[in-house]
Amino acid sequence: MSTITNTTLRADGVSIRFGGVQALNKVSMEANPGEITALIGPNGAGKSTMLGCMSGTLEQNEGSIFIGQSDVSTASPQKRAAMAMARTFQSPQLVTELTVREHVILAMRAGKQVRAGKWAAISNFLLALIPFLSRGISQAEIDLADELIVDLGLGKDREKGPSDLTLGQRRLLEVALCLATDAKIMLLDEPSAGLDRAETEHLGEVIKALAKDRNITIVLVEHDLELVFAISSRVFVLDFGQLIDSGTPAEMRASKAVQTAYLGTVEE
Amino acid sequence: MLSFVIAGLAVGALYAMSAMALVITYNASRVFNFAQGGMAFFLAYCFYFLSNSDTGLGWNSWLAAAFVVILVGPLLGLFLWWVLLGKLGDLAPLTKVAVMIGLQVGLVAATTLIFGHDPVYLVYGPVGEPSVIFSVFDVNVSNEQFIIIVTAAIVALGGYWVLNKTMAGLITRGSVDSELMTVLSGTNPKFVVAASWAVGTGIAGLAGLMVLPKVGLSPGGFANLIAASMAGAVIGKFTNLWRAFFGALLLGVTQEVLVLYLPSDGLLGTALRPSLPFLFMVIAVLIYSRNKDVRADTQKVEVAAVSNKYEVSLSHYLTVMRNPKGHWDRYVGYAVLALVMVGMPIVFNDYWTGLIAVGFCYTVVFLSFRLVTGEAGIISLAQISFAGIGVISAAYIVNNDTVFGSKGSVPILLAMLIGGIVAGLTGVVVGMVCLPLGPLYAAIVTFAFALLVDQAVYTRDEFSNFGSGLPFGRPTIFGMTLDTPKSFYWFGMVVMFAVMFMLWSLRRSTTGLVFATIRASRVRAATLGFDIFVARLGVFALGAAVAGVGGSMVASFQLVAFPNGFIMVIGLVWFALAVAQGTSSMGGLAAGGMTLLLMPAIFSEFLPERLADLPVLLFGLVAINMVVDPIGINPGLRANFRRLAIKISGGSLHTSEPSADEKSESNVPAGV
Repeated sequence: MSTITNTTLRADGVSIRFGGVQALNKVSMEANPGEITALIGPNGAGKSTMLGCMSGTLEQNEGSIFIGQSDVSTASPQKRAAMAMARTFQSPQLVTELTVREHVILAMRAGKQVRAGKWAAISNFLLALIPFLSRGISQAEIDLADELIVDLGLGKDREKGPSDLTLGQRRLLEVALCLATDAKIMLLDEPSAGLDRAETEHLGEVIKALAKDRNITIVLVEHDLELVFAISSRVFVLDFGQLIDSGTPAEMRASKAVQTAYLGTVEE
Repeated sequence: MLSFVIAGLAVGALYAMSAMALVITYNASRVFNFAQGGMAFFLAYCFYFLSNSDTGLGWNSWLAAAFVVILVGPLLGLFLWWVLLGKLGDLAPLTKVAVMIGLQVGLVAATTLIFGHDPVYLVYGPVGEPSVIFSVFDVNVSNEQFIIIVTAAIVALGGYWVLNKTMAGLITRGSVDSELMTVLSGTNPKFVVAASWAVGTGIAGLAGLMVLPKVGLSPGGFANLIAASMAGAVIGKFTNLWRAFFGALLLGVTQEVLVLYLPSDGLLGTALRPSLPFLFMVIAVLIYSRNKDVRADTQKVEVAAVSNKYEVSLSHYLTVMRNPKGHWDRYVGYAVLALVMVGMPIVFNDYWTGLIAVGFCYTVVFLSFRLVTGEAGIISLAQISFAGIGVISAAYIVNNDTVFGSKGSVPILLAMLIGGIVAGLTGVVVGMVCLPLGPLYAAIVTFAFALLVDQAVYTRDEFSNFGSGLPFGRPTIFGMTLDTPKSFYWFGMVVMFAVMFMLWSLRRSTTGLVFATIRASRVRAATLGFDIFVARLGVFALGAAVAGVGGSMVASFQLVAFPNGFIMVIGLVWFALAVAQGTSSMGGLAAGGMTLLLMPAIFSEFLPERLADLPVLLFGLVAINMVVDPIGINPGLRANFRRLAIKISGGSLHTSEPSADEKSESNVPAGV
């Protein structure tokens, strides 16, 4: 993970079909470090599918995915995680048995373990079997995790399990997991869904600061266009699996193609 | 050659019918019928009772067969659907398998309680005494072979006609693809499921009656039929009727034709044919695991596994356990435990102390379920076989050692450890086959592996010592041989707590957090960078090793390594008991290990011998109880204890929970 220097994420002519449905058709896009690159479009446009292909949870039928100069098209999600990629899910993928704090500590350890390589995982596994040598949760980890949890506004819920959180809080926890892995590429799938305006604005600030301060490559799939236009550097617009336009937020705000995709056309 | 092909067709036809029944019920209900052997056993006994003139009613055998297959079988299927099977649809794979294994165990025990405990070896099916009825190219065909092949052909063609040419078939196929569309077309999908259980149970009964002359009436007798039909179902990916039918048919033909080419003795001669169902499954799994679509399908099952009643029960349990008050209750538990542990060898005589000591050994085996199922979420029906492999490996090395000089020079403790290592290495091989696909594949492959070990390993004279078992000994620690029940009691207890300590340590480590993630969401674990396959394989192997050590401890207490105590039929009872107690709960697993030993002993002390199977029936019923309590008995009891402690501490049990809408939204698998 630490060896990755170029964290530009690039999709080149990506296509994927589910049975008879062409979910993505030759979509190309690029996301640069230190920038927020948004992917928008109406429901069913293929946004989450694109994130799936980028993160390796879905396998595209055609096209390639690059991290820097490395072709990761056939790499597993694990390999991409080892190249500093992390993602959130539209439907939060959380662990009922773990509290908010334990989730974050798990992600912190995951990031470290992945960076340290396979032997670290094996030695961790073996050490875990030896009482007194296995690694319980330390106070230092708790402090670090709590700092992040408080930053994201989940401070009061740190001891709760995901089933005791609202949907919005669960999405925030997903973002916290990404942050905790210390990833250099983050794919965020509708992180603001379920949040109120103030929470959304706070989340936007956190994401913006991440990209800027830590030089992280962020791909943001989002329905909240106000948030997208406020924080993104570049916007790609999908509709029915096709890339219909791309450009700066201002250009996309004015784009006829985008307006048509969202609002439809009136026949004269 | 032709005579072997005809014999193979007859055997394969039986397998094929049974495989069809598995696929029919799975297609409609998404429940894999692990209880099909028990159903067939019960129906076969009904037939025997109706047709036998000495001990039963003496009906005409064709009339009895028709009555059982057309009336009793479907009614049994309908009854079971009504009281149990119809409630399984949205449960987690582990719960479904546990309930079906519980049903299998319970049905077999209930059958022997109703009809008698003693196996009946010579039973004719409806066809009666075998005789040659005609010849094809100078090869004699018996009435039995002819009837089986014709019956299978009728069932297959009838099935094809019903599914493809009738409205009922159209509705059934529609229901498989979309339950919602079935509802919208005005048909209640429950009827389709109920009908499939009625038909499936009838066909299972038919296959059971036909196989009677080959296996007789014994609880384990139907295992081969079921393993072979499971191989067919795996070949058909559980849903493709015709692929399952012809896969099972091919298996039967291969088994018989191989007789021509194999030596009459030696490893190849004795082990290959019984191993064929497992080998067929291995080949199918290896082919399917390369297929992206099949992998994706099994992943869907994994996603579904966390979106069900189990998760709701688990979160209720966790909410209670996370309550800030009442945590002192654990110290009460520890104090009681210490008192009981120290008091037992003082209060009880040598017989009961010895039994409890063996209970500790069984608990060590049961703790392997915590690793395999409780941590890694793998449904393994082969823990008993790993224990058995530990037993025979440890005893074999003690009896045949040349490394340490003379025979018997290997210390027993070292032999136990070697037994564990051999079992662990076997676990690596089995895990590589059963882990790439979903939980159901793992359950079936481990089931077939357990049967393979029964038939191809335990039967070898170098391990069974011609049926009397290899002699084994007690360990010597610090110059003291543990030759009294009391000394073995302390030894068993120390090992049991050492394993528990190891498992506790694992749970609180990074690895423990990783497994919690893998159980809840594989996609989350993968995107965090964890190698799911390697992690699960490691724990599966470790679980096998722990089972191996526990098994060799049992043999050590009994002073003989007797592999017949570790056969698949008993393993199903173990699994039912372990899962019903709660595979994540060490206390539950200890209770399981103890119950396994003590309950039959207590029953045999106070109840007549004909009720010997009553404990097994109860074990089956507690597994079936998982329909209402999917996290198991012990976590429920634990939560009740904590609730009491919270109340005593003045805490509140009321918690605010997210709305139902929010919960249901969070349970929708990630879309595109």
